[in-house]
Amino acid sequence: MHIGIAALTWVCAVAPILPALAQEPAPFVTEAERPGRFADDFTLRYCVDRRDPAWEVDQAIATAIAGALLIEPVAHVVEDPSVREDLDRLYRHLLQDCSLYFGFKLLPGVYPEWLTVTRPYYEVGYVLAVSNPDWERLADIPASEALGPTIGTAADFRLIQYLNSLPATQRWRRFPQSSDEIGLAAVVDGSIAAALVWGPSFSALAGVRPEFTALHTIALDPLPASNVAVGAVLLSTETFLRSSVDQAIDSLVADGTIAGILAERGFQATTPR
Amino acid sequence: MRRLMYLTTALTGVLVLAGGPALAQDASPLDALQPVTDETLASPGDGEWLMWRRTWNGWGYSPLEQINKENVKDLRVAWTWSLTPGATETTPLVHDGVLFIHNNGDKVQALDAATGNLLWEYVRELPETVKTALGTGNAMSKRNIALYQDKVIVATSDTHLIALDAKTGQVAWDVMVADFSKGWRYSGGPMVAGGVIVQGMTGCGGAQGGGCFITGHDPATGAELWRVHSVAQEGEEGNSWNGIPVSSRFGGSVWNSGSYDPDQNLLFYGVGQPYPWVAEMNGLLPESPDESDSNAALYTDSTLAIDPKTGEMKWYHQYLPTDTWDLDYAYERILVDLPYDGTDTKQLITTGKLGIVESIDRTTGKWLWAVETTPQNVVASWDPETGEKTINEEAIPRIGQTTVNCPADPGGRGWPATAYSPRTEMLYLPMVEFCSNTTPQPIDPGQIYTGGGRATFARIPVEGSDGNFGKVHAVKLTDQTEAWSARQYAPVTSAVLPTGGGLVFAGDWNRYFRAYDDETGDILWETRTNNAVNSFPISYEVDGKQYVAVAVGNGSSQARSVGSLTPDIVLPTAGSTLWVFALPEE
Repeated sequence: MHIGIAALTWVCAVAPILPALAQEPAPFVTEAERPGRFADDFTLRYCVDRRDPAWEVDQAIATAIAGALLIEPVAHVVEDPSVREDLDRLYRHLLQDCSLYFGFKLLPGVYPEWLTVTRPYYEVGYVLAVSNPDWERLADIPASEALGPTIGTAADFRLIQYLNSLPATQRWRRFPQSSDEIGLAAVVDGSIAAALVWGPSFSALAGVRPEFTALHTIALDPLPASNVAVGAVLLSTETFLRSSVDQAIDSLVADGTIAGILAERGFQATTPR
Repeated sequence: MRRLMYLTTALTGVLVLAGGPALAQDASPLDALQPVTDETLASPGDGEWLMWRRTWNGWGYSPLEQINKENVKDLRVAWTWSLTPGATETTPLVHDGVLFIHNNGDKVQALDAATGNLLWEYVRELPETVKTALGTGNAMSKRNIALYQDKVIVATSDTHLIALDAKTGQVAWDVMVADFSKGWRYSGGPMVAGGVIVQGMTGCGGAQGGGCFITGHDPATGAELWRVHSVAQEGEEGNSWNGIPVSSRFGGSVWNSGSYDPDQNLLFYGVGQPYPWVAEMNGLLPESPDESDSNAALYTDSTLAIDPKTGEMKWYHQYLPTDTWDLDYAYERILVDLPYDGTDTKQLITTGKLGIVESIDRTTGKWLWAVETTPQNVVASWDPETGEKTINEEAIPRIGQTTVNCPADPGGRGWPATAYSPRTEMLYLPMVEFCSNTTPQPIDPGQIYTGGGRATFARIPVEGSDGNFGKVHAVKLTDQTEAWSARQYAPVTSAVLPTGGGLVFAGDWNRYFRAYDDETGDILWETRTNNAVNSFPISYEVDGKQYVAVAVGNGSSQARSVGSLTPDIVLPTAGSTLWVFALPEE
């Protein structure tokens, strides 16, 4: 019954041309969880999430997008206390609470077919936070030290691929962290040398955890630059809304409105080129 | 019907008591309900179904034989009962003519098992954040509840363990075991063995390090008596996590109930895989240069043997070190005493998602034998003496690459349980055949939303597929040969139920519920229900009459994942129902 190595070779050889029969289905919801289509009431119903360190910047951008579209912005500020959520929850928000959910990275391959992403409205990166004042770049950290990337992020993927390219004796140890906050705390207590975290998280957490102000960020090299484009997600079926929002973002980037929002709030991000 | 007797709102739930028919002579079966003792759990009456797999040995077998190969063609609906819509992975329990059932969203009901009349119902008042976070998906469903003494024991969706009075549904005690907001979840249910309530925890992913655990509780109060970590803690067994500290170890979910051997006074529980699934992400690859480290990731994909009184782990056996595919060995443990190599042997048999049936000696944990049941390309071979597996390196997912895995995440078998019949000495398995193009993906599309990002799984048929994905498969345990395999298009999505009448019941994604000949696999009866059959069928007896009960419903992620192989099969989003069948009156 075991697929032998010869057969396996065939499977691998033909796999790229086999159509994928099945992708992840849309999350399950009962009829009671489907409120039906919202009336065209000249509003832009959007979600932002207090757990996202950029939520207030995103809210200002959402308001600007609504203004560009000459419709009224209606915010739904998500207050859930859970540390993590899954995409099923996001699906229900998009059915019940809002048409656009702000603060999602434009990463290839991570979104299911039922979800789509708008054009980006800013780009922001991951940072490497350390406490040792002598270190200015990742390459300064001795290989005997442990790095603590927040587990499974796009920046962590780059770190993993870089580590894989190094001889075993020259690799840093990698202790994955369950969140940005836990990673930064691990640098403070000395259990890791550096935390690889989302830039806006570092800025926001340093404002509420005084011990994090002792940390500073250093250059990522030899890792490549880490900037990631950020936009809003919406259901794939919302093609007209996506087109309209994309055009609005384009115009707000072009006329400097979004750059002004970022500058006004001291948010360390750039507008898309 | 007599109207509701009273309605009361308690701190943790809404309780509804109902009467049976108004005629005074129709006494409620609750009046005759006797406490469930250690003795009745050890040796239940043939017509009783007192725990998840009916007996501590995990067989999932009903000795009832009124419904048999000759008359099963006459089987028809005795009664039905609508359940809360949503994922419905439940196991009804039956004691003294009362059927207890858990509904999606932590509604528990007691029904007259002969008529379907409601006797009482408890609805947990879950925090709004829990309801909004979980919706009606499988995290709101529980695979089983437990009966002990005069109580119904329930693991709730907000990670509490509660006890309900079996006669009234009133809350006897309620203890919080873990913080829901940190990701902890219950999906499997409790068992009672050695006088202790035992419950496994799941949801030990990226929200918090240190892995999952199993807890033992005092049946009188719910107080936690002990806690066994399913992920090796600092200093246990060296460093089997590639040199990373406990705070960076994730996974080891214990998401199904266990088995119990009273002769040894040992519990047997299965443990799931490391999180996130891809080894390069969770830190198990690349291998540490420190030769004192291993990357087996104990105790993931293992059987744990635990003393129920003390929580002491007596031994463990790991089936799949360094699991990087989400190929759990977290399912039922079936305890059989059968000859092996010419000697009567106390065996523990389990089957992981790979579909490899494996037997170990349950007195020592020593590996005995294995047999494949479905196409797979992850394990290239195993040592016939030790069971140590040689992994096909080409099937290991790598960041930046796409690999072909057979099977993939929902498994060649998922949580729907296998079962053993002493009549035939066969193990019966509900199965699905498929492969997947697997591509690891970052898990941070949003700062909070992480689902769907561990890897993308583009499911494809196995090489040379005949177009069938589902099958009920039978293995003769005395010689480990295939006895029969009943193949079909739709994935088989229910647990299997062998009976003393020579039948094996199983259901599928296409709403069919069938009875197979336990010796040949021939279909002897079938009916079409109103939704996916994706739960644990049982059989019981009331007043000399045998019933077969099975719950149906849509919303389970396991069933919907394998259901995506057959997109032409469309199911309703409502319609969770308990179906109960019996032979017509003569």
